[in-house]
Amino acid sequence: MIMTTRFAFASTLLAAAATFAGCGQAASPPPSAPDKAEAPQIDQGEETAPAADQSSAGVTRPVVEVRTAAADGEWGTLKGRIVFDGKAPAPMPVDTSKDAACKATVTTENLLVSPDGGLQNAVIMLRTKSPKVHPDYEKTANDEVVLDNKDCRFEPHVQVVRLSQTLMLKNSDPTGHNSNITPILGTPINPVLAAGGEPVPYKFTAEEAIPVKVGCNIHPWMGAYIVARKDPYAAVTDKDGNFVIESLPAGKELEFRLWQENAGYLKNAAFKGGKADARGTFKFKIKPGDNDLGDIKVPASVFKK
Amino acid sequence: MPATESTWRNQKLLHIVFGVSALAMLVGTIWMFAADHRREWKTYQGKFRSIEAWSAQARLSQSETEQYEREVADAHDALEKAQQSVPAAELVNAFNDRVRAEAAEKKDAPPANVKPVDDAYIALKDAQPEQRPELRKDFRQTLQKYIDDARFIENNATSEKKFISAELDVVRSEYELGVGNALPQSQLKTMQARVTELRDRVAAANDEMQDAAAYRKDLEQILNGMFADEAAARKRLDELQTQRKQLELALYERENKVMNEVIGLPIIDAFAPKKLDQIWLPNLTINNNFRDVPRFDRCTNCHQGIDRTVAGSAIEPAYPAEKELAISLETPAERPEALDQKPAGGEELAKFYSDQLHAIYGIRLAQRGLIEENEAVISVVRPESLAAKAGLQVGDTILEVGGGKLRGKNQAYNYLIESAQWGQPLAIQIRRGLPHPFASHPRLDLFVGSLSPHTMAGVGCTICHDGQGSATSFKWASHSPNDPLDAERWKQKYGWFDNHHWIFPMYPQRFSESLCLKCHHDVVELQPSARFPEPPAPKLVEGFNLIKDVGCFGCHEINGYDGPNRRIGPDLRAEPNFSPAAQGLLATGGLNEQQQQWAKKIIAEPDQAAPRHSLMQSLNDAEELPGDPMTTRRLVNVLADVETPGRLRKVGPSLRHVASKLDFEFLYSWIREPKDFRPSTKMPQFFGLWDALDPHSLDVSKKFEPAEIRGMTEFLLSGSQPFEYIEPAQGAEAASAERGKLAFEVRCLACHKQEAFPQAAMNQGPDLSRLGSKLGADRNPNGPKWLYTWLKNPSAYHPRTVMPNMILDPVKGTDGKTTDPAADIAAFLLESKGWEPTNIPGRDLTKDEDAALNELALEHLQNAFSKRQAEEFLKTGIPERMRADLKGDEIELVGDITVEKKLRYVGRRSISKYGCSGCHDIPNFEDVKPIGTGLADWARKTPDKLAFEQIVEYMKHGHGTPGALHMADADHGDVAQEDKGIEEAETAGTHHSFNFLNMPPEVGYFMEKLVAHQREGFIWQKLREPRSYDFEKTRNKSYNERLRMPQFTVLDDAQRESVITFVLGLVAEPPASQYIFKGDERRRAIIAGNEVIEKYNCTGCHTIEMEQWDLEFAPETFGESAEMVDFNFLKPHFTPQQIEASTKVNDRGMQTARIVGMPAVNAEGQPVRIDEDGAPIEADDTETPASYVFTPWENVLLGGNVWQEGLQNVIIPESAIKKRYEPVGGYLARLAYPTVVAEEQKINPNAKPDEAWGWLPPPLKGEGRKVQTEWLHSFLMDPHEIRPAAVLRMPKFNMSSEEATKLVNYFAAVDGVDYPYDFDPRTRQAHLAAAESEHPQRMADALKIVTDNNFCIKCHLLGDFAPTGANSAKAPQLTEVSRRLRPDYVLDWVANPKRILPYTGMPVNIPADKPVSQELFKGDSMQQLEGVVDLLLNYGKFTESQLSIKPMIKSPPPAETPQPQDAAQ
Repeated sequence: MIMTTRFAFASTLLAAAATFAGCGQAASPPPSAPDKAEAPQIDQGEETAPAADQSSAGVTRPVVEVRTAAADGEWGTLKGRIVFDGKAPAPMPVDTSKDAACKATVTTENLLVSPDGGLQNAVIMLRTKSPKVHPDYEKTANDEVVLDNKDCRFEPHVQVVRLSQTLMLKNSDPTGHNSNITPILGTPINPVLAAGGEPVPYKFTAEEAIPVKVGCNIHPWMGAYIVARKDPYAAVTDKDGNFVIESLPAGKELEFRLWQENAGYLKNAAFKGGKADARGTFKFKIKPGDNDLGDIKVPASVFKK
Repeated sequence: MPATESTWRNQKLLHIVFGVSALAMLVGTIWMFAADHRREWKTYQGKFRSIEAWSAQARLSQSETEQYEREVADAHDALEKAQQSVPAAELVNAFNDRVRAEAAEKKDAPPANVKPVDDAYIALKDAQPEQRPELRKDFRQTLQKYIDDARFIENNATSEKKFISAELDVVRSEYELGVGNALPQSQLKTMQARVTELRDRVAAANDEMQDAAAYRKDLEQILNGMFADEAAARKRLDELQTQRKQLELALYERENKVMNEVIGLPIIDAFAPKKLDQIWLPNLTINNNFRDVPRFDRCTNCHQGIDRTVAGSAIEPAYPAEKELAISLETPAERPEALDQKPAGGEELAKFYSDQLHAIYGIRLAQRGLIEENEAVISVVRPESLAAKAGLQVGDTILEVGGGKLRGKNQAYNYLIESAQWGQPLAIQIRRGLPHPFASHPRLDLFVGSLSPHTMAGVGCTICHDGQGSATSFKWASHSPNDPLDAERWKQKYGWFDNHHWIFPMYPQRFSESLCLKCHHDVVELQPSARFPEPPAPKLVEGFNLIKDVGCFGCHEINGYDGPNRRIGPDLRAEPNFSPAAQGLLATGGLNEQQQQWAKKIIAEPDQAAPRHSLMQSLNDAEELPGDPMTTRRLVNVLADVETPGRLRKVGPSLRHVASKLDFEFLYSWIREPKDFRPSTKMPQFFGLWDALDPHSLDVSKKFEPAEIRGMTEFLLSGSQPFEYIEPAQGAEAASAERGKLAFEVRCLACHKQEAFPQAAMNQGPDLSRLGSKLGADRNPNGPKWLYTWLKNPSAYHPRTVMPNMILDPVKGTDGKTTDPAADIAAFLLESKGWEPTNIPGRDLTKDEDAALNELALEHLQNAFSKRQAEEFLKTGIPERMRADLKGDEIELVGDITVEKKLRYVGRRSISKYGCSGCHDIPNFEDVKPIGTGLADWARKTPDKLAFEQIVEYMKHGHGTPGALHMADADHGDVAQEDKGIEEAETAGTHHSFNFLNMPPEVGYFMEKLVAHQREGFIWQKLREPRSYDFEKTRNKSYNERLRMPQFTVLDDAQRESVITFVLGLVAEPPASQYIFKGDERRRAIIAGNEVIEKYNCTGCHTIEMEQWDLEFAPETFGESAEMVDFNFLKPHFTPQQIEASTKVNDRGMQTARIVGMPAVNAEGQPVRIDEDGAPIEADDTETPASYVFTPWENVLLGGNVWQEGLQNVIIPESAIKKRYEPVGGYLARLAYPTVVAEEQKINPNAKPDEAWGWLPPPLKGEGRKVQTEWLHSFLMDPHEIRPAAVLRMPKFNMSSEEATKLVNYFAAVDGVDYPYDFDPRTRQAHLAAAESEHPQRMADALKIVTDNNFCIKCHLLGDFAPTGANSAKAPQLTEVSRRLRPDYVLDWVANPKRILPYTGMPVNIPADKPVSQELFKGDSMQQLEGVVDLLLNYGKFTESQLSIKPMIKSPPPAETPQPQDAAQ
């Protein structure tokens, strides 16, 4: 008995020590020893978590700093802009008469294109398996990510959630919603989210190769997509079609996939020096530092009318 | 005569005679023994024994492969690990505590000493693992000592108790004696005290003993717990070793006994084990010339392997029938280096090759072949080797490698090793399975197998196969070849011949299903079922369905009854013409109000006897019959009761009001050649079948046929009764073909085809292409009106149609406009054109036509009158006064003659002649019986009763060139005449001009039978070219005596063979009643329901059985399933046995499972295929290894893990799918799915595709468990809208209440729930009162949940409340729940709807772990759930209780006012 307790105590100490060591490295770039940085994951007790937070609390690390890390030679950032190549149809208004609590001005969101062609809510994700992950991502690894029901639409419409993170299904509307999540590999869930009720937590149990649809059966026009992933390397384009994936492992050729809800795989999407294949994938070697793909043009024919 | 030495016969001669005869006898005896030894079946038995021995050897070898060794090693490891482990400290503490506690209980005893235990334990714990086994033993012994001590105490206590008890007995008897001897009281008192004392001591000793025993048992239990893992590991090892021993034993018994060899010797082999077996079936008699004798089947003497299954399965054949397979075997990329160390030769070389084969490909070859000594048979396949990946199995014989034929085993080594191209796959041809007679029965699940419904000992062989069961050699068993090639081979190999003297020859393989009909009279039970998903008799069932579909029974009744109650076979007969007769009576216009009502009732529900009896009675009592008295009398007679009436409806449409639908030109063209307008029509061809005609007869046909067609058209149109069209809806938008197309697609394709939908394949109803050419306004002004009326209410036109009323009521759209779907669909259908009738005669007859009409009429009239009379009547008409004497169609000619009358007469005669009324309802033909031969015992009809006529000549003379039909042959008439002389001379009387071997096997088979004048040949040609039996006969027949059977152009060769399969099963020889298939009550209900389902094509829309996949997969393929939070009562339950069974691996090292549900589909309705990452693969990508996403609709065990219905998708690799059973039904739902998804996504791009399942006809899996019987019955009779979201409504079928009952019972029986009544405890007052007492205002609180703005009423209709918005998000009316659904179902459904309907959008309202707001309903999740369910099921009662009636009733003012004070109040 005594033995066991002693061991537990020792291991806690050890873990705590290791965590401090890890944080120290992450806080002061360059993170040249990623192996060591990953070590503290073993037996990370509850006591150690606040310690880690405290250590980083003082230093709010802006993204810029990570870029500096990338400049070091180990990591690179991928950015670009996905463009709808053609004339995009305007969003349609949807019939929200079902629920007086809903705003009357909801429009369809399955294909949103900015005036200059930027494709919103498209997804770019890493396809290469088990990549080396930048230690900075650890801090957000166990975050809660919110999918809000607000004004009878989901907010955000598309987002990335890691398997280690918890998706909080929240309802900010004065009316009841439900969130019908039907992943291919994981377990489906369809809880009612009562107005004013507490958020319902949900965890993805398996990485899904394409984004998982979320629907609301009470308000059938509502839809959202979740990119459920093991690693953090995926991004959703903003309203102008821009995306950034920070801190990818540099030096190796990586495979990426492009996807958008209306089209599915963004096949034949072309950028300077590359083109996606029939299943929206292309290979690209990340250089240390910035990698800009520029405009990735997706032919209009790929999209449904 | 003096005695002499001489003998009567010459002694020497006698010696010679004796010697020779003795020798002859010896030779005879030897010959006899030799002949006996060489009997065919003994050879087979010997061979089979060696095959079995080989298989046992192979199994043993296989068990020696790595797979087995690995298991053994695993078990060893586990044991070793267990032996090196340290028992848990808690258990040691528990042991010590127990010892201490025991000591503490004993006063005076010293405290327990547990130090030895602690010491031994610490020693064990501190030791190195490898020392632990020994120390464990010590430790165990230490503990055992305490147990031994305990046992010692226990034994002591036991013996002490015995002693005291003995003493007690003595003292007690002394006391009793003392009482008897009247000893003084004081003495007795002392003795009594002694007894009491001893009794106390016994009790004390007993307590001590029990305590000691409990103590000892406790210790033992703790000890066992400490060493449980070791015991378990040891047990597993023992099991594996036992398994091996069993295999070795099996082999020893079969192979190694020297005895076997001895027993196999001549003479001795006459005794065991080669002995003649027979299956004796005293109750399954066989009719041997007027006498029923018990059946003896000796077939198994040769067919030794017939009932053998693979180890561990009760149904998988051990020795499948042989077949050849091509297999591609990968080779290693590089030449294996080990090949360089090849030994010089001899034994070592053989061993070297054998080892190399094993090392490279993972196979070994058997020492000797299975059938031939020197064949290369695979005896070992190493799991996961190249060979295993290529699919090679133990027992496969390698025939060819890379195109080179193997002659002997050694060549296999050459081909596979020496001449292999490394890195290139090898093409290998193998033979798998065994030849007959060694093969096992292919369907051991159905036949012969011990778990099958037809066990070998129970029914034997010949009851199903026919043949001579008592024979013991191939040729005498009356085997029947499947084609001429078989026959030829058999002749050479076995000396087979066609034994004409055995009247029940075996049925050839192509008809092996026929004789199922002996016992399976209803046939539908032979469809695939949950128990037998593999169709038991597909060909037979197809034949049965074809006969029902094309309406063979309209002319050829198949009467399944011999007398009112004795069933002799399938019963296929048209129903009595009650409905048409009632229509006829109604049409006379002379029925009074009451009679009209009865008539209408009969028309709609002819199986109701009461109105029929009333109408008949009332008309019989009438003084004067309405209408033409003779006709009316006939109609009234039709209404009489029928003994065991037929049950089938006529297959053709009613022609009673045909003039309201069709015009002259269309009808004429249709009768002449139906397939001209509609190539796929089931209506057969009556005219233009001229192949067998000589030139003269052909001229006659060409003359008379147009007259007949003209006459029939005229008769039908002029005799058509008036019809009222339904007026289109007022105020609706103009009809739109575009809307109509969509409306048509999501409804009508369940039964019909149409050219706009090439993907549609149902043929329950006709193909509706080109309807505009038939019913378009430009052809026929009535056409569109008729079509609209038909769409609105088909029964108005044809009361017995199976086409349902689609309830096409006008609908008001969201834009406020009203549309009329019936008008839309009509517009769509009429748009389709592209056909014109051709060669239609003018309305006025030409001179030739008139002459032909007269001539034909005369021929008909001559049957009733003399020629002179006939000629006269044709000129002047039949005088009115003769009307009463006319019995038949001549009535048409009464009165002044006109061309129309002659046409009507000829038409009516033709309709009689061709038996049109067998399929159609035609006025004046209500009492006509079927015109063809009954078929109930056709398969036992002797061939001499079949009119083969000149058929062989016909086949020879070119017309009947096998395989070709000659309908369209323009030059037919002349051929026969020209060649006649030559051919007659050439082949007169012989059949040898046919070489059956040169024909395709199926043609050769039937041709041979035809030439040999056998039934099979007759029916084959009768179905192909029915009129060909008139060849060379027509010249001597009148036109009306010619054959009349039409040609069923819709049937192809395979379908005709199916029909033949069915007809050949019509033997009318039912075996003893215990063998006739009856099934238990539920099974009968299922069968009866299936008939109704088939009749109305319920499965056209609804899935009644989900897809089933048989899986075979390597262990660990599916991994573990995720845990989930849910109500306990919903969690799946499997027994430990079931879980263990699911982890068992089969011979191939694979686990198996059957999964029920449906694969996920994409928006296009195609199954989703994903790659290893889970990303969907495009339909055209067949390269990427694909997996399916399968949603189980039933909980399933995969390798020991439970996957929960509706909640956990199973990712199934394509390679794991052994067999897929398509879903039963749901055709329209699947067909319309993509369209419905696309339509919805047009207005709501976010619509989830799989929700569309909820808008289409729902699968009826679990329907019996779901709905209340009474509700379902009334719903079927009068369907109403349930789901507002549905894109189509359940139509109203033209079905009887009895049929609806059958369906209700069917669903309940399938699900194993109560019927016809179901008891509902949740609606009982006692239940509700009890619940209410626990939770006052429970129902009111539950209503708070239901009406809360977050839950039910978000989507559901409730009373007069309906949610706003699009229909697709609305859900059924909740007030209906109490009438519609069963309580258990509602509970399960509300708790977690996805478990029941995986695609449902209904969310979980009350999660198991998180009740909804306590402000609404105070209680936990389960209480809330129960509350809501009770409310839903008692909604009516609850709302009633909210409404007080009393205040509404005004009491009358009191007459007197005796108490004015009260009145003042």
